[in-house]
Amino acid sequence: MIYLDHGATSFPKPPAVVRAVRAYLEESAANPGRSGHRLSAAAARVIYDARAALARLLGAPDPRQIVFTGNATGALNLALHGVLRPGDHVVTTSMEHNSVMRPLQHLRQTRGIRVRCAPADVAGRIDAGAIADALETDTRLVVVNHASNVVGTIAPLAEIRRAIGDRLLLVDAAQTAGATPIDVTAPQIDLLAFTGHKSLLGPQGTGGLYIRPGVALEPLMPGGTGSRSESDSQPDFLPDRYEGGTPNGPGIAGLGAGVSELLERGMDAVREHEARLLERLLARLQEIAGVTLWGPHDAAQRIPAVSLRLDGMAPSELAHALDRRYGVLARAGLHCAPQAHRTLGTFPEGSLRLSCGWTNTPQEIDGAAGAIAELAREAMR
Amino acid sequence: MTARATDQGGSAAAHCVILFASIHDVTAADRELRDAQIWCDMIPTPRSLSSDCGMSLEFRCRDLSAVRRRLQDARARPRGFFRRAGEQYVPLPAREGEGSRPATEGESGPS
Repeated sequence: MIYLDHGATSFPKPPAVVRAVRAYLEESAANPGRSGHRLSAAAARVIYDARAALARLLGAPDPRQIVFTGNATGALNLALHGVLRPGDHVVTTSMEHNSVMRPLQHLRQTRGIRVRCAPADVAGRIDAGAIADALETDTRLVVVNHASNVVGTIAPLAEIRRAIGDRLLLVDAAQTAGATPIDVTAPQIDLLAFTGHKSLLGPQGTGGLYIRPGVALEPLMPGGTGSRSESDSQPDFLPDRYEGGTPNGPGIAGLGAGVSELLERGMDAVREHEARLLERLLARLQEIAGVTLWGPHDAAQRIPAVSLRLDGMAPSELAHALDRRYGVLARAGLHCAPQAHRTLGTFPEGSLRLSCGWTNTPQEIDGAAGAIAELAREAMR
Repeated sequence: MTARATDQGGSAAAHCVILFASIHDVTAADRELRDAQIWCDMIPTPRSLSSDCGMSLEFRCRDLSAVRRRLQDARARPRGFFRRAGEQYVPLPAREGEGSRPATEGESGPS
C-alpha cells in the first residue's frame, strides 16, 4: 500500500504516538486537574507537556496561549465567532476551505458580517496586493489559508502582514502545522488554527488555536474548567477561558508525542524531506502524457499536495482504480474547498490529490507515478 | 489532622501551599519545581482556601525562597501562598520581604 492522503490525515502515526495514547488510557486517564488525586495530576501533566511542546513548535512564547479544540474547524469557529461582531468586515481569499467559508457564511446570515474574498491566481497563489485591495477602513479581520489543501500553494504571510497593517490576522494552518516551520511572532500572527491529526502526527479529534496575548475573543463554549468553580462566569484567563469541558486527554497525549517527534527531527529536516518527495512527484507526473497538473511548478512555493487530472478518466474513477488495482491511496473530488476549485478552474469535478507525508519514500513516489502512467496509457487507448 | 501517607517531603517539615488560577499554572509550577529537584505535590485545593474543584501545589516552607524564584522563571501565576498550620492556612506575602509575617526558611509549623 502507498498512502498518499496525508493532506486528509497522516497515516500511519508514529509508534510513539500510539504508545502515548495507550499509556494515557492505561495509566493516567483521569480527569485532568479536576479531581485532585494522583491520576488527575498525571493527566494534567500530559496535557501540560503537549501544550508546551506545541508552543515550542509554533514559536509561541507562552503555552497558555495555545487552546485545545477538537479539530481545526473548532479552532476556526472559536476565532471567527469570538472575534466578529454584527456588521464587521472580513477579508479572506478564494482558496479557503469550507471550515472557513461556512462559518463566514453562517456569520453573514446570523450577524450580518460583510465578507470580501481576495482572488488567488490559477495556481492558488495569493497576492498580498489583492488582499490590500479588498480591505476597507473598518476591516476587522483577515483570514488566510497558510497553504491550500488542494494544491499546496503557500501564502506569503510576511507580505500579507505588511499589507494589512495592524488588523487582526487569522491563519488557517491545518495543512502547514508540522509540515513547514511556523513562528507566530514573525510575522506577527494574531490567531493560528491547527489540526492535530495531519502533519502534527496526532490522533483525530485534536486541534487548537494559538491566541496572541492581548487578542480578546468571546468564548464559544463556556463550561466547567476546574477553576473559579464558585462563579457562574467563564474564567477570564487562558487557557481555561476557551476550554470548557473535559478535554480529549488520550488524543492530546498522542498529539504531544507527535509534536515531540517533530521537535526531535527538526522542522527544517521535515520540510526538506517532504520538499524532495514533492519535487520527485512533480517531475514524474510531468513526464506522463494526458496528465494535467495544478499549482506552482516550484516545489519551494508549496507543501507536498498535488492536484491532477487525467484525460479520459474522472478523478473519482482514477482514485478508485489507483486504490483497487495498485494500492495507491489518494483523494478525489472537491476536498471540501469548492471556492479553491473554482479558482483553479477544476469545479465541479474536482481533481485527484496526492499528498505526501513523513512516512513516504522516493520509491513510493515512483510507484504511484508508475501506476498513474499505466492508467494514462489505458485511458488513451 | 489530614493524613499525609504519601508525603515524601519529610514529616518534620512545615508545609506551604500555593493557589493558582488554573490547572495549567499548577502543572507549570509542578514541572518547574521538579526540574529544580524541589519537592512538591499536586493536591486538591483545600476547601478553606478556595471552592475551586481544581488542584494546588504543596511544598516545604523551608524552600519558599527557591520556590518563589523558580515560579518567576516558569511564569506561573500564583494567586496566593499559604503556610499550613494544623487545619488552618495562614496567608504569606505575595513577594519575599513583604508583609509582617513572611515564612522563613527552615520554619517548622504545627503538624
